[in-house]
Amino acid sequence: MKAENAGDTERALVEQYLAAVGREASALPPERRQELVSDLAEHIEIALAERPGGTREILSELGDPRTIAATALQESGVGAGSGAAAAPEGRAVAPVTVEPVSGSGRRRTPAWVVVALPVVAMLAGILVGVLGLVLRIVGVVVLCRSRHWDWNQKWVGVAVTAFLPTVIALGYNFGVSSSDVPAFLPWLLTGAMLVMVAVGSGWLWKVRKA
Amino acid sequence: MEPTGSRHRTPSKAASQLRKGVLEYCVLALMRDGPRYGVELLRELEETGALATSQGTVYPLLSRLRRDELVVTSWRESTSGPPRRYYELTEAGHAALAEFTGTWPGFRDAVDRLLTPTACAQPSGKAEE
Repeated sequence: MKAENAGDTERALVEQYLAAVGREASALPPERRQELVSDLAEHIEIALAERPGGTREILSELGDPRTIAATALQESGVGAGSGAAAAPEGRAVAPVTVEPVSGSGRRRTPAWVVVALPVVAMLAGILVGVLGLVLRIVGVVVLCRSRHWDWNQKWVGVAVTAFLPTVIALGYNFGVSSSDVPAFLPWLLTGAMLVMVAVGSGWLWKVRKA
Repeated sequence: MEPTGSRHRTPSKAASQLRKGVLEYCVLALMRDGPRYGVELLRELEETGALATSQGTVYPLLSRLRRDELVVTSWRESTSGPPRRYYELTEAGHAALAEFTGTWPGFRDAVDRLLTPTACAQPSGKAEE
């Protein structure tokens, strides 16, 4: 019974520690924070398997939750952290992008799919309206989940490749009565939207992080 | 069961500045000869003395290396306990490490030359303090 209590205490210590990391890292994007906490939880679990009963020592080696959270904030700072800013030049020597090996780490949609989706959605929408809408929604979701862009870029991407085209299409369909419109206008609008989406996607591709 | 907090001295400012720039490559170097799992990686890093801070701060770094696709991870079963997540260099990771390995000796020697007192750097009138 005593051993069980000790185990409970150790588990509580780990939970407190992880909660403290989560709290200190509250300025991180939720996805990053979750990743940090689960990386540490993983570390503790494995270290404990190798060193049973060493909870306190393991936590003390990991260090102050505040320091860890501060480091995580620096690492994720866009352009602010020295490492993040210096990385692009450093990687210029590297051979083109390396596709993540399947089954490794957490699964994410590759950048080219995210970039291609709005264009495909636009083209599909010309043929079958509903299909275009569905693809556009999928496009927004994968863009928002992607690690290749920061949030500012994501907002611009969503606005240009999804939101504005949808607004224009809706505005045209519901706002204008078809009788007093020259025949070329729908084609002109479609063309303009296509160009806008293509430019937006091209921009996303250009500013993506590897 | 005593807390063992004394193991980590607070690193000096110089040490933590240095660490910031170099740690990433130390971590990559530890993976040069093959995949390593996190606990193992941190233990070795600590043993080299290059860490100069608590182990936990390496995880945000590993996370960035993963995002930058300098490393990839894969799960492997273990004979004892839970499966381990192994970190492995990608081609880009090898390239980044190779570039740093090429840059470092020149940089180190240049700093050494500045720091090491030599006959010509310290002319005769040095005893005036």
